[in-house]
Amino acid sequence: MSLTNFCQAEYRRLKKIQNYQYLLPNYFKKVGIGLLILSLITLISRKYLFDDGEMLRQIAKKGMLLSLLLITISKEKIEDELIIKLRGQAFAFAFVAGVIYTLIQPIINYIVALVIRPEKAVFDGLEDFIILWFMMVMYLTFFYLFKRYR
Amino acid sequence: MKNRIKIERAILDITQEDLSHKIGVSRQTINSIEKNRYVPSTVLALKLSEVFNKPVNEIFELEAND
Repeated sequence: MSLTNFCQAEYRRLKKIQNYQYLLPNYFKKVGIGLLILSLITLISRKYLFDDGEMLRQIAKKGMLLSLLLITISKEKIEDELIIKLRGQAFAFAFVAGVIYTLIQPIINYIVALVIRPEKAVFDGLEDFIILWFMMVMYLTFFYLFKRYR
Repeated sequence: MKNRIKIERAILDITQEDLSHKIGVSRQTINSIEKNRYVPSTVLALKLSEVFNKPVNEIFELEAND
């Protein structure tokens, strides 16, 4: 394969990925909301139902992330070009907010711990669940705000 | 960019809802375009021109700051 053919093939592959419709049908939003409620109920009730609900807690947390992802990537009832633009803007804002949060929150946690319990203060990173949860919640907040004031 | 969508709609006597159905977008998108909050794509501008039966540059007009 010549270099030109290779480049053309790569370009076609890239275009295919670029044009891939990654959004799910609108009814997945309802599925996502249902799963989110179920995950929240499980997270709250496991303390009262089980002595050691660590595994259930982990499953509920994964369920929550999955539900937020389903809501995030479900189409609106009318998915037009303005919605696609707002989606892109909301993703960009959420990404930046996520990075800033990941950088700043451990410092805040450390300072608060120093003030409250200095002997137990440890400078630690954030849990992956918290970062992903924060980014998806930020995305949904920005998206629905933009959509409301479009 | 200024536009005459509201005027053209009035000429055809159609609502934002009717126009949105004709070009396959939401009513809110038509409202945003009319209020100059959103500049539509060429495809959407051409669909509007088809509905109003007028060239695109008669519906949309550039302003000094564009």
